Amino acid sequence: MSVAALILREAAHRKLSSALMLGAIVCAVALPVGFLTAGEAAQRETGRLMRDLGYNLRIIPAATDMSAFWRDGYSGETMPEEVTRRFAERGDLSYNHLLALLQRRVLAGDDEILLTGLANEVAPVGKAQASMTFAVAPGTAHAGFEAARALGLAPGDEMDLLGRSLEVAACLPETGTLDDARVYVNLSDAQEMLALPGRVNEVQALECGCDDPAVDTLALLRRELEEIVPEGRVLRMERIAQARERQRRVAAAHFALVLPWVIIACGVWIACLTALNVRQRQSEIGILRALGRDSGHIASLFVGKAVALGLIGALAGFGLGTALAVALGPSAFPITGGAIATEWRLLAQALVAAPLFAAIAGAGPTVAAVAMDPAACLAEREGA
Amino acid sequence: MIHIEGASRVYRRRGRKAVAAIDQVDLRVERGEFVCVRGPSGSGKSTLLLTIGAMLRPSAGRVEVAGEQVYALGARSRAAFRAEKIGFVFQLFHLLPYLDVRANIAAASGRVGGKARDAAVDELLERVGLAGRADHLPAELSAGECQRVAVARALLHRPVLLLADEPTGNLDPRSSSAVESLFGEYRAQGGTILMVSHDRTPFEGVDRTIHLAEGRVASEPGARDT
Repeated sequence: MSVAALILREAAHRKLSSALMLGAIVCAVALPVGFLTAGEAAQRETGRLMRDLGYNLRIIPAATDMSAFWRDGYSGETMPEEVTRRFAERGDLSYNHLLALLQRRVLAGDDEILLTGLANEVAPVGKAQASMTFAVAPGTAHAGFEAARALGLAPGDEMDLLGRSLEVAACLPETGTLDDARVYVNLSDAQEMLALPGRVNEVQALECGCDDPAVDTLALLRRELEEIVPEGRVLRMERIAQARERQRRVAAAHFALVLPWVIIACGVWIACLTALNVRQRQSEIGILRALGRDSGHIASLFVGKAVALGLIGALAGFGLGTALAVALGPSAFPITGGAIATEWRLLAQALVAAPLFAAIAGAGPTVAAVAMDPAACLAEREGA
Repeated sequence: MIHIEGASRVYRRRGRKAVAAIDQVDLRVERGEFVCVRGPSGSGKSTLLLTIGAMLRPSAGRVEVAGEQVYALGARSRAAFRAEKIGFVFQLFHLLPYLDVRANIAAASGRVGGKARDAAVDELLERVGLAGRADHLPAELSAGECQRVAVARALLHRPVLLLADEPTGNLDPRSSSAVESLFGEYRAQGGTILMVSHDRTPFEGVDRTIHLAEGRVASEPGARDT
């Protein structure tokens, strides 16, 4: 009878024991698979939450009077709109989500508002992501909370601004910032209204995460900016940038700390179960040895079963872990949970790791048993 | 067939006095003989049998079986020696619980397969009266039937030496008689038998009886025991 047939007969005979061991391997694989699959979402979620803190870089014309800048909230100088194109053509930058703006305080009737021309967000080559802000169609306006209230605007209204008629596409919720006083229009409309064609006075951007705490990221940003936009200067909103970077690092460190323990614990779990199973079947080793079966045959019988269960357990555990992550992920990660998907690389890793742990664990007691005299193996059963 | 000189097996456990299960045993059994080893429980009978069966290395002494010093062989060669030369009938049968009767008997012929093996299994099933139970698992058999399976398994590969540990100890008279009959047939074909028994019930065909007491050969009357 072949080794495979013997393994099948033994497994079929000890259905409960085999099922329990298989179930344990399934759980031991499902746990890290689910953890890792959901962990990917957790990392994405952290990234999204940090991104939603807003743009953390402001690139303004180098000639800006900084006192006026901080007083007015924008630069009185302008720079060419095409600076965003220069960023977009590069893929090796620490900047992303580039948003060109043209801002001026203007009168709307008796009220002063902050007119903000908004371009579509652009990304450097190979870094395209969903936009962080809304787009404003030409001929329309999005009114900030205070501006809408002061001007009595509601969605669908027509408003006149600097001789231009605009349809109010949206009235924005209160933010508690200067943004409440803005009226957003399309950049081209703002350029036309302010008679500043092809000009912007600010490019906002998001600094990409830097994983190396030793790197002076502000110096790096300034070097890159000097190379691309020599006529600009970069300001980093340190609180946002640091909070973002710190949170990303905390999330990564937490993951790096927990993951090895999860994997080690599950590996040891599989190993203990396999070793216990082999130990419980020691008398069989004695019988087979007494019948003259060599140690290679016996080892293949026991390690073969461990490998087979490891493979089946890896497949089922991967399915279970992924299913749980997909089912439960969205409630834990409302922003990115829906994007939790099958991580196929985990299947490959599980198919290697689970049988390997089981085989190594099974090999130990098997080798120890076949090294004993057959009579000693049998005596352990009789003594048990 | 069997030549033992000064064989001892000492069990040592931490904190306990060493116990010699067999102590300086000398024994010769000629080819074709049927020898019965008797003695009370704990006298070393099973240890002697396991030592001769290449399954329990003696602490001291020389064990030669079928012309081979079995403990001079490597583990693999000793396994091959057991598979080829020795048939062993255990008191507790030691059948594999997940194999049916046919597969349990066939399990002894790890190196031999195919039609010849299947025919030999069928023949043995007929001889032990279990042809109708070939597909049953050991758990579905009586003790007597299990012992007959164990005897059939021990005889399948036509060993030159049959070692039997209390082969009828758990059996009713009818099953005992069946086992005796099988031993007789094996013997008639030139086989050598060394059997262990703790009681004094006569066993048909025994040439001589050796008595063990406290691990030593107490007497070897040499008289026929039938």
